[in-house]
Amino acid sequence: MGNTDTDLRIACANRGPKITLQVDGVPCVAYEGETVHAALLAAGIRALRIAGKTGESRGIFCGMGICYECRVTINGVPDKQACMTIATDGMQIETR
Amino acid sequence: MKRAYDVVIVGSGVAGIAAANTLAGHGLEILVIDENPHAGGQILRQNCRVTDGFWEFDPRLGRSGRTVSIRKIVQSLRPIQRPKGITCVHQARVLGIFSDLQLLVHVPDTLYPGGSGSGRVLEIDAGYLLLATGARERCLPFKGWTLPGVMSLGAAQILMKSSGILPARKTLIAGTSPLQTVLALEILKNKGNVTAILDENHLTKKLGLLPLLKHHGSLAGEGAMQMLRLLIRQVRFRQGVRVTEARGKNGLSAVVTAGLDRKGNTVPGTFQTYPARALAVGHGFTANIELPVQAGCALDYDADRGGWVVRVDDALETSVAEVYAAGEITGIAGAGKSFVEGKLAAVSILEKLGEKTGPDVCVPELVRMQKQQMGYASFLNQLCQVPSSAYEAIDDEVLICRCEEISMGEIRKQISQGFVTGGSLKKATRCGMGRCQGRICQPLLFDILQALTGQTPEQIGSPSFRAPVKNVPLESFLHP
Ligand SMILES: Cc1cc2nc3c(=O)[nH]c(=O)nc-3n(C[C@H](O)[C@H](O)[C@H](O)COP(=O)(O)OP(=O)(O)OC[C@H]3O[C@@H](n4cnc5c(N)ncnc54)[C@H](O)[C@@H]3O)c2cc1C
Repeated sequence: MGNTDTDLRIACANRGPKITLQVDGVPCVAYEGETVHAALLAAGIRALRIAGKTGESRGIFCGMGICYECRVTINGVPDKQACMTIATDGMQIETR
Repeated sequence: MKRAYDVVIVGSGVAGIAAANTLAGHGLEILVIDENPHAGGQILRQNCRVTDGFWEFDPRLGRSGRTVSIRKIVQSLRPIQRPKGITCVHQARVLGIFSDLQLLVHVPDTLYPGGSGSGRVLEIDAGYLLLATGARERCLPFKGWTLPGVMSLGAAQILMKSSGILPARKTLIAGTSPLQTVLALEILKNKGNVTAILDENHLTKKLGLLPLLKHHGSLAGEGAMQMLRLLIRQVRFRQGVRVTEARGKNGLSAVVTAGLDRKGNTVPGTFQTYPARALAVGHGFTANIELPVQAGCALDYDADRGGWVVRVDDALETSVAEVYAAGEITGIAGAGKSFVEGKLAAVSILEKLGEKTGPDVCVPELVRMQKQQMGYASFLNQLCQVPSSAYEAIDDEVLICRCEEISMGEIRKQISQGFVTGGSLKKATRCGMGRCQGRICQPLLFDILQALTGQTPEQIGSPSFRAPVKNVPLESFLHP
């Protein structure tokens, strides 16, 4: 078993044009229409934030806007739910 | 978007769509509000480039005198431009409902460009209100369930359906939910791999529940077909096992399971470890009752309907006048019941308004189908239900409230100190006071209290919620 998952994008899925996100300052390829949480997962990023007390990493849990675990900073606005946000070209995303 | 509508529908799942379709064409101004980027709710989940419109059910559906199967419902939907009179706002959240049906709604910046990036909160008046807020999943907590890579069954489905992305190259599937097989087939269809399905239910439990499906031959058949297809694909399928631990440093790398005896207790010496980067796990559903509770709607507790649900009369009106409820929030029973109730609630509203319904609506037929769907509800919710011994067995170190990071040990301690109602336990532990406002841990806390104290649902008490029922940035209130 490898350390990362490559190629999580489903070949037969109907995708929009290629876009680029900036994730913690690093360019990351995504496709128009993908949600931020899915695009990050496809880039191999599972840990999205650190829980305050225990210092543990947290990532996608409910995927539908309920659990607030996938909070990231998007274009300078903190605590955005990655699963409820559609990725757009040039979006600046900060995890942790 | 206007500031007043004849009917406001919260939720554009199967129930909300069926209601909007039935209400359209009567000259009413209808507003549909949904926090998802697209219409369709949990079952449709469209990728946003596919359609920007709305959906319409085949008008003949529900007239045939036969049970509506989930497959039929989905197949009969067709994308449409919005029919006249329906306004649909997405990525918008209803935060609260106040007297005279005044709604507080958080709308995205896309509706008001040039904003702070935090959206804005508006007041909207409704003549009638239909709540169709659907359901979410439950999960029995285990050590490491907060690790990135451990997700709900629905989360894994949503990654594929909305974004065309697999949860991992290989996914491990576990829990008690019928979504396990649905997810496995979807992963295979998308050329992903399923390490195994680890079903907590023994075959004997499933067989014992089959009589509840006596009016649902098509559903039983669909389930059997799914199993057959998984067998043909040689998916590893184990029954009577539970995930006891997820391991990994900053993300999941392995999952530990234990075998269960007939009562659902783990059997010593039956541990097994699976390498995994994604574990999708779920233990059934719970209704999204936060908004109805905030609005003052009375609840009922019924384990066969998935726990606390909104109380409605035959017309689907809640205990608050002019507020109706349809779909999963009146009882977890899947798409068939949501469809039927969406139509019925719309008919009730039209009747109140003195409007005649069209020829494609046959009320006695809908009522018959609604009653029938309740048999499926019992099957579904009993199948998913975890025995109380499973809650008793949760280790002290396991986090129950993921947001406030409150452990089972802390909860046990406070229960033993006498905090044995849902309300007092929440105050004593802060469990349920975090970002998700208890959406994940409140149903768990309730089940834990039932298991550890043996009290009745009424003694433990129904949950309470205040506006705003979802948290939004303060700036969104501060606009001219
Ligand atoms: C994660 C998950 C996956 C599922 N997958 C399947 C499946 O594959 N097959 C199947 O047959 N059944 C599935 N179900 C069961 C599903 O609940 C029913 O099939 C059916 O879709 C329910 O329809 P509904 O209209 O009652 O609710 P939903 O489809 O859940 O629709 C409710 C809508 O209300 C919106 N909403 C809720 N609160 C607010 C608010 N305050 N403000 C704005 N909008 C709000 C939500 O965003 C949602 O779109 C799934 C359920 C869940 C929870």
